[in-house]
Amino acid sequence: MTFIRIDPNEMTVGFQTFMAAAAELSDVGSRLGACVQCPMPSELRVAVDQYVATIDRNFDNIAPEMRRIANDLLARGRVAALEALAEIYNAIVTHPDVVSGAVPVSSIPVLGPIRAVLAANVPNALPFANTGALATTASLLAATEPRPVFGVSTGPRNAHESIAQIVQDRRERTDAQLRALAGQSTGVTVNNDFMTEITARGQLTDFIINQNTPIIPGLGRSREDIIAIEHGRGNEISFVDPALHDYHNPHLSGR
Amino acid sequence: MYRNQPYGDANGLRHAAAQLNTRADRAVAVRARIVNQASQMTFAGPAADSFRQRVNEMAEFLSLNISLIREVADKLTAAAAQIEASDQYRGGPR
Repeated sequence: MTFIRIDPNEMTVGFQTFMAAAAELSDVGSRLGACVQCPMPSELRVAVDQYVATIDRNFDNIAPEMRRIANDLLARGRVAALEALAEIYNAIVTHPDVVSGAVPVSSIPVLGPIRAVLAANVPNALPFANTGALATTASLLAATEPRPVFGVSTGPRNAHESIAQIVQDRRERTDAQLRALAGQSTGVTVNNDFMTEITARGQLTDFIINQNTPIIPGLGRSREDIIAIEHGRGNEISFVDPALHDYHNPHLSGR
Repeated sequence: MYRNQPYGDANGLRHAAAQLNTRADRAVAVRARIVNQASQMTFAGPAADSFRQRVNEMAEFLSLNISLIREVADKLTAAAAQIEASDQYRGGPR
């Protein structure tokens, strides 16, 4: 098991940094030739032109690689954001009150930092964002299914996989494990020891974790717990997901 | 070094050298930004390891090219000095 940690906001900043760096390097490289147009001894001219051509070519080679890195960061951040949304959604729709029919799923509000994640990654998911009204899971689904994941290739994970499909997939794969874990993990604080414990038990893995708050396995917890997570964990998303091992950019990783 | 053809514009060469050094400074800043970005991120996992390794490789490559730019600037400065020395020997700029 490998610990994967992705903060979508951080990845967006990384994307911007590397895209800007690529643009600036291209600019630097392309302007070198203009710097050395003054008269100079012919021997020096030959040497300088060779240098400049080499450096310009090297910068031209670096810039696309920087853009690949930038796009890779952005894609990973968006995948992570959707993973978190899927887990939140999973937690909401499997809420006992929802399952029992006592509360309609569309009445569960989407609060706190999740709204920020949605606003940043799922345009139109929060139709009432500017009014202060609560978005609901119903509006979330209406806005995201079967919407493509921003048209960004996300590797083996289907780029057109909707949140509902992710949830369904997770539910099928991990329902039994999560239910078992839910019964054991109440009040347990996530830390390295706990992760090690999970590893030892082989009880993997599809749940949201937070460094400082009780683990929420996504099933069998109260609505209050769900809301607490939304308020408590910020936009940082940490999760353990071997499936993401398969997701990589061959240009970046060389694997 | 360029004794056979010491012609050229010493001021122009110095100006070109200064411009090249300015470009090198910009590249240094870019290098610092990407290295800092990579080191400050909490991004973790196999992809993060590959990412940081790639950034380090890229930073090394950038450093090499920055050195090349400075080398060219030094050559231009040296040529300017040589031209100025030659002008002095001849009694003034041509």
